[in-house]
Amino acid sequence: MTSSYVVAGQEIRAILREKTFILLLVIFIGMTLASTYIGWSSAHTIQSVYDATVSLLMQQGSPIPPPPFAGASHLSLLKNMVIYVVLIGALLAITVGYLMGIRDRRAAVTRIIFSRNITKQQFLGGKVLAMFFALGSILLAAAVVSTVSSMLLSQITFTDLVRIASFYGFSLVYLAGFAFLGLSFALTRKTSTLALVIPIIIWVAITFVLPELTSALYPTASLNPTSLQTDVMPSPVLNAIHRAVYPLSISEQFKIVTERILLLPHQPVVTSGLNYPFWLGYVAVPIWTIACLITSLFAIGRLNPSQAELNE
Amino acid sequence: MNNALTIAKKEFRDILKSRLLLIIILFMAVITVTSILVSSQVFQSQVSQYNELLNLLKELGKAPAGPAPELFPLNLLRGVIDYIEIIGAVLGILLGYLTISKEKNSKTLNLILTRPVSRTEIVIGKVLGNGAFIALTLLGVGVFSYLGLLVVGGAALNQIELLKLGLVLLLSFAYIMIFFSLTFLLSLRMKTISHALMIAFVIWLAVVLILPQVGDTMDPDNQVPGGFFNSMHLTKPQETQVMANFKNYETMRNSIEQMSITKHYERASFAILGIKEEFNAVPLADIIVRQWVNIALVFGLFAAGLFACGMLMSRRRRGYAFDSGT
Repeated sequence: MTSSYVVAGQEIRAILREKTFILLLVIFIGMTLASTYIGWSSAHTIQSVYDATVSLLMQQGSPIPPPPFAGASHLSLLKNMVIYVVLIGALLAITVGYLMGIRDRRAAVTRIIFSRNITKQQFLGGKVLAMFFALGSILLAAAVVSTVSSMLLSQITFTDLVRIASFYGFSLVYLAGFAFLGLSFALTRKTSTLALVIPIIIWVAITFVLPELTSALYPTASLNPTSLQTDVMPSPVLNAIHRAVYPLSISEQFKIVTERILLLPHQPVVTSGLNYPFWLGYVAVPIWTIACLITSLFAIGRLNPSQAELNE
Repeated sequence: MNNALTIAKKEFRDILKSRLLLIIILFMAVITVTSILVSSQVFQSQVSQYNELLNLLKELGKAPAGPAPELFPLNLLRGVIDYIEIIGAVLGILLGYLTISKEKNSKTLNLILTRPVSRTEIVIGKVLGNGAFIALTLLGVGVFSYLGLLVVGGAALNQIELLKLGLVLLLSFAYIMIFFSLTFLLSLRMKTISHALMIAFVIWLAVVLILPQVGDTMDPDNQVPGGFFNSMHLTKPQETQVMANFKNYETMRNSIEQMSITKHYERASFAILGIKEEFNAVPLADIIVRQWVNIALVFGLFAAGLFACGMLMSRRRRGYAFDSGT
């Protein structure tokens, strides 16, 4: 176990020296701060737009519908964070995993490392510890930024604080999967480019392609924090795809769970026949992370220390 | 010029041998067909819903209030354009990176420069080789789109629609080449070449995903599921009248979106393909006139990128910083 701690300590020190990691971290924290402001500004504007609409309808003598956003949660200010975790957070996690997996291979030190008294499992354990430490620290910092900025712009109760903490906790589980993915490919691929690009392609498939297949959502519509009502019921083909693939659409499952945590309005996909239970996401996301961890275990098992060096 | 063509041929052959790019091309083919399949199924659902409603109204002895859904086949390509915005840019980044990294890693660039080949010819050769590959990929997307629309969507394109598709593919070529030149420049400039790839991905994240997302999120109509104005039962003129009070806010929102070249590409493509409904009935020449700023910006940035690559390469007096790609 001590060997794992040594590896973890070394990884944490190394990642803090990586400029790309720092750049992505700054973007993520910056967008966390911006997301509260964007949420507040949008909420403020939509109220003014509603008032202007009411005034126009009154002048024209038309009936006035109730405000469609009445009863919105205080935490709706953070609705953009759901998207930023899916976009920036996932790429940050891939980068963390990739950098932790590729560094020793680039420095051509894998042979030296395994000539010491350390097993592959201890080596991986150290990397996993460091990964959780790095991602946990980032999300903790984001949680603090979200809480403080929300407190400044809205009234936050103790329950809201618990919800913010739960949101970031669940985000850690989701992001850990991408970090394991980055680590797995960084440990096994022959070139560093392939090791970085394959997890990014998988991320694109999870974030954009699967939601389109399962819920008929256009790729760019997946970036809208206000979930759209989609209807696949009249199409037998889309219904069949939805039934088969929906549990695997991890980014959608993550969004559903976090929308529930933050009390954001959610529009379920209209389907015929089988309707998946609301708790599916609570199970699907951890299973995804565990599956990616198992991939990392296979990757470290396949790693041949004497041939792991990258000659680029 | 012969030297440039020789380099271009070598580039093209190298790309064809790359497994990574093969994976991306296959991925693009799969998502093109997937996207057309989903869009056509959604359209067919709308038609069947309309027909059911029509039958119900007939049974009740009433006439339908709204027009029947009309198929504009190019509208089904919305998902394809979204994917070119995202994956096409990734393809450009990878090609720009690989074309320089292979020379730096194998330390061959200085060797080439010892031969009677000018720096400009090297840039032209690399741009031609990679450009040819991007053009071929987009041609593949075009063929897949045409066949997808015909087989999956059941819609054959007429001559004008084919011309529109061709124009959008040309615009897509310029868009992808912008990311190619950006990474080409970064890879030439940066001492540690793998940082060039990471930084290009960070720029891609900001330009392709974050800026358009921020602009979209700030749209008042996007604040409510199903659309705010829809939920208030407002007509288009009423909506315009209300939003006239929020000109400053809309200007700011629009400015954020306009900082992204992806948004310019998207606006022009959506207009040409009629994905933006108001352009469906507009002649192509008028669409181009109305979208000339967006089109000019995409082609302008493409030309500026190529010019910058040429300038940077020709100004470097000494050899290239050779590192191990770490």
